[in-house]
Amino acid sequence: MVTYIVRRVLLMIPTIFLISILTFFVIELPPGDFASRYAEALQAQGLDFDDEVLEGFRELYHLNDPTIIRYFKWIGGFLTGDLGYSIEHRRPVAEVLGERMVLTVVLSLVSLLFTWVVSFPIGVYSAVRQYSFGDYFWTVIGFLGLAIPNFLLALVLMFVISKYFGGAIGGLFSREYQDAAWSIGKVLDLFRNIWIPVIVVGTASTAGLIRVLRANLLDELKRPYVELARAKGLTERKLIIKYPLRIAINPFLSSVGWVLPGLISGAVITAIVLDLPTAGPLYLRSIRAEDMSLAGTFMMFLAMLTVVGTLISDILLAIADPRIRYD
Amino acid sequence: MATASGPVLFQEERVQSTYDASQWRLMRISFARHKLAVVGAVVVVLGYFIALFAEFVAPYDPGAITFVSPARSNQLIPPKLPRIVHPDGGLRWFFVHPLVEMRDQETLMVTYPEDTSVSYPIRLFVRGAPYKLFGFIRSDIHLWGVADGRAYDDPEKVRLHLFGTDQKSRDVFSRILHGTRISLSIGLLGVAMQFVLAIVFGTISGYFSGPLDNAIQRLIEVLTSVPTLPLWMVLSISIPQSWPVIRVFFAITIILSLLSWPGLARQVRGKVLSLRETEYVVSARLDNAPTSRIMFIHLIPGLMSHLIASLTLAIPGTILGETSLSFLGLGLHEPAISWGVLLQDAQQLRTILFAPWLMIPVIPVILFILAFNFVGDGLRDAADPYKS
Amino acid sequence: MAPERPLLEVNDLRTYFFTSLGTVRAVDGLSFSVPLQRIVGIVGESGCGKSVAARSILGIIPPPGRVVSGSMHFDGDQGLLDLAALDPHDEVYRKTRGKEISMIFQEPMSALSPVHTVGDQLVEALMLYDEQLTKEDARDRCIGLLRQVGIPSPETLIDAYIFELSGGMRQRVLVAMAISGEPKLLIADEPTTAIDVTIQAKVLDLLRHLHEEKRMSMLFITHNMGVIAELAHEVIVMYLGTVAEQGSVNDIFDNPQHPYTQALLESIPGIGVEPKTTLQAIEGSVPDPYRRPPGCPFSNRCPSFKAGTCDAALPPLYRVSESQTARCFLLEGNEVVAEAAPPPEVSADG
Repeated sequence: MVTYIVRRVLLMIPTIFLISILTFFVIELPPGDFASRYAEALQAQGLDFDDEVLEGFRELYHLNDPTIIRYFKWIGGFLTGDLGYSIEHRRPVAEVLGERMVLTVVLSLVSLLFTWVVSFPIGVYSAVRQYSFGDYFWTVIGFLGLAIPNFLLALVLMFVISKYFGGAIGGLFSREYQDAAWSIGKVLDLFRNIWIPVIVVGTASTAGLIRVLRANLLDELKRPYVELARAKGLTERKLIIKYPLRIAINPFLSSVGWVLPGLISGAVITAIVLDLPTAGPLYLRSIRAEDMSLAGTFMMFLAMLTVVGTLISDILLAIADPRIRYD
Repeated sequence: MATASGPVLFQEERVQSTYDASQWRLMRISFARHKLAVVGAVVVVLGYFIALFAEFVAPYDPGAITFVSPARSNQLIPPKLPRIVHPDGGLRWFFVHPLVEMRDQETLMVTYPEDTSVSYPIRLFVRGAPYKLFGFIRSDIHLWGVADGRAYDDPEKVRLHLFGTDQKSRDVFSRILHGTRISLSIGLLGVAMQFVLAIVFGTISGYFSGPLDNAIQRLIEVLTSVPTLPLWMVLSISIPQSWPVIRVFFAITIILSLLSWPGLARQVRGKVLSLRETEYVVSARLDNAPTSRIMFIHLIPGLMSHLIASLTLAIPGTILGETSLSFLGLGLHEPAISWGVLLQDAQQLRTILFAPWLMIPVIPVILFILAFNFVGDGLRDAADPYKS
Repeated sequence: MAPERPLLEVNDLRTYFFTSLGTVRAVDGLSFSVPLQRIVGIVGESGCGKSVAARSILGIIPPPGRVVSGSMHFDGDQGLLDLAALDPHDEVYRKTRGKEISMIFQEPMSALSPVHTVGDQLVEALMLYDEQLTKEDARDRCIGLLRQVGIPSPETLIDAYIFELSGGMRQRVLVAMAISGEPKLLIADEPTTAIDVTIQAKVLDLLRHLHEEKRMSMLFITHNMGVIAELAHEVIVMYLGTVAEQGSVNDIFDNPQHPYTQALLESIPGIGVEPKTTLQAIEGSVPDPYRRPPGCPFSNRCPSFKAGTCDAALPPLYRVSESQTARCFLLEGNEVVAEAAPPPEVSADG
């Protein structure tokens, strides 16, 4: 088991390294740099300055260094905990992103939890009572959930809530906690408000997971070992809990690998539509402004969240399935 | 079953045909049994038909601002259905009353009450704005329209806006129909690119194990670890604003496909790995058949049915990708018309509270995603005709 | 009929599957009995309904299949039960299952859960059959069972997973599971098909040994005539869901009456046969389950086919001798034991 984990962690290193290269060069892709965007913005306001000033600006933020050098500076800083400096916000990236990133992680993880808690009983029910009214009902709901894109759901929910309930949904906190320091009250307030974004972000993956779980369980229910358990004289309820459910846990655990990236992507767009105080809206602004260190850090974090999430799910999978463990 | 009555005979006939039918025939029969898949297929075919003949099917020009006069702005007209009950109580063929544009003196809002004293019928194949179908067939015949005798560019022309108009006085219904063109073709084109990438990388990776396989596997792993939407967002921001619509369209398609093939490639690889060990491929290899021949003659046809199903299921992702990007203002821009571009108008809560019909483009998005999912599911089941 | 009441008496059993393509009459008018302490072999090609018959007895027919008519009288601890009349979910039936009638499955690899240890799956069965049993005692008894079926160092293997065992060991685990309730009737569904020939003999030895030791009745299902000859006292030859011929081992091997039985016997290689003589394969194949030939089900492959007779009606069961019966028109003139009953009119939801 330990060797398995060690091997898995070692395999992660080249992946993260490659991701950092991909991230950096993709972020570098848009034409121009922060200086030119900044100049455009200032010129739009009627301010004019010559190229020399601009060059000085570039020198100051090392925008003129060759790409390779800047990559190693960036990744080197990353490894030592220095996330760089956001030129746009004139503050260290860690400071700008910090709280928002935590909220992004909280939103994604709560959505994952939501996905699991909702899809498990429904998936099991649909498989065990295949072709029942409930199965059809959830299949329809599931298909709709898959078909409605996150941001549309956010839009529609926003419309319905402001039109029919009079309230505005904005953000994750009530007004009194918006700018307050962290306290138990604020955390509780967060969980009072987080459910709308969680529904928006989690619906599609919940629908997907229900379908996977149902299909998997239906397969397992036909296996000879279920028949044997029945032939042993186990009651139907006991044998379903002990055998197929136990094995259907596997796709559930491995779902982290494909559900989490979807949730994170969904969280980004939902946050933009609902204007949540997470990192999503900040990211959109930073790529528009070509604030490279901010955008890069954000993307790197998201990728690492996925990689670590997959690692955890692989370890859980190995615990759940001896075949993997002994491989 | 023992009696030789009609229905039983029919059943036996059907049974007989499935028992020794070819694989494609079996697939067709299996697909036809999947009712939702058939419905989905009809919707999809209808969608592409509309995409081809949008100018004809749509009653109005989607791009041009409706001809306005100082007295008429035609902005944000609410949706209206044609009537069949005449004010005199009798039933008539579909007709409309002209709308009067009025400004409320207190709120300064524009309202559009109906002038019920006059009515004009809806007719099929009416003359309207001229267009060129496929770029060369000149015509001004539209599938339907209001027959009021006025010219199409007369500001007083009576129109029926099924889904209302937008802030620029354009007919939302016609714009949605025209939107099928980009929104649905980006799905097909994107999937075609993913198909090529997935086949190339998947077959290579599955057929030649070793370092090449390892490298491709690592690449796939990296691509699947990076959340797609943020990556799409940066990539599309690199598209120069000055590019013409068509070039932006291709650029967006490439961006969407570049990040979506790994899942498919993984499936192809798995399938190739199992096919590689089948007798017919092994014997071809022992016969010293060239690698390319083994791949194209033996492996890829074996993958086809599964791949087509997976590809159909990948179309919604591409459609959604374009819609999301355009909605965020990172994808296509006006004058291009896609459902995502249309939804840009619905971004502000204030706008949709006042004009909720601007959210209507949501419906075709959901409809076609559902339709493609149903068709894909049906195809996937049909690809395994021996399974159940 | 033997003076003693048989342990299991199956009469005109019909198990149908209602699929979207039509009704499959997997078991169609099957009658046989398993006397106390005897080994009855059921032999037939794949698809003849042997396995469905076994599952019908256990009441574990998967949907869309269902026992539609007939009776299965079982003389067990809970008195004489007609299993066919019981709902498969019935408590009485469930308590019979596994404890009094148990089954050895064909594929040990897929019949055992891959994510539970051997002990876990065995202890579960033991504790189900003896509710007073504590976990520790069950574990001890489980080790004893594993030793009894010839598993070396059962103390360690009890905590192994199924994929860590060899094919033969896995099959022994299945046997241990099947005998854990000390059943009166042990059904073995092709228990040696999935394992190596060298180990097959050992497993057969084990089964014979267990039979002698525990004096339980066995219903041995196989397509292998050789295995039948070695193990069974009585033989039932099945074809397309019904009995073609039945009798004692000697009757069937020395005096086969049904052309199908004769063909089956000709298709096995034997000692004393001239070298280089070609083995006789049976012409044609089992008909499409949706399209049975009219009349005798074997008529389309039968070398003694008589037009106008064999394809007109299902032959009745004729008596050959005191212990032997066969369903073939060639025996016309012999005493009719049972007329061929027409299949009942049933529908999927009946």
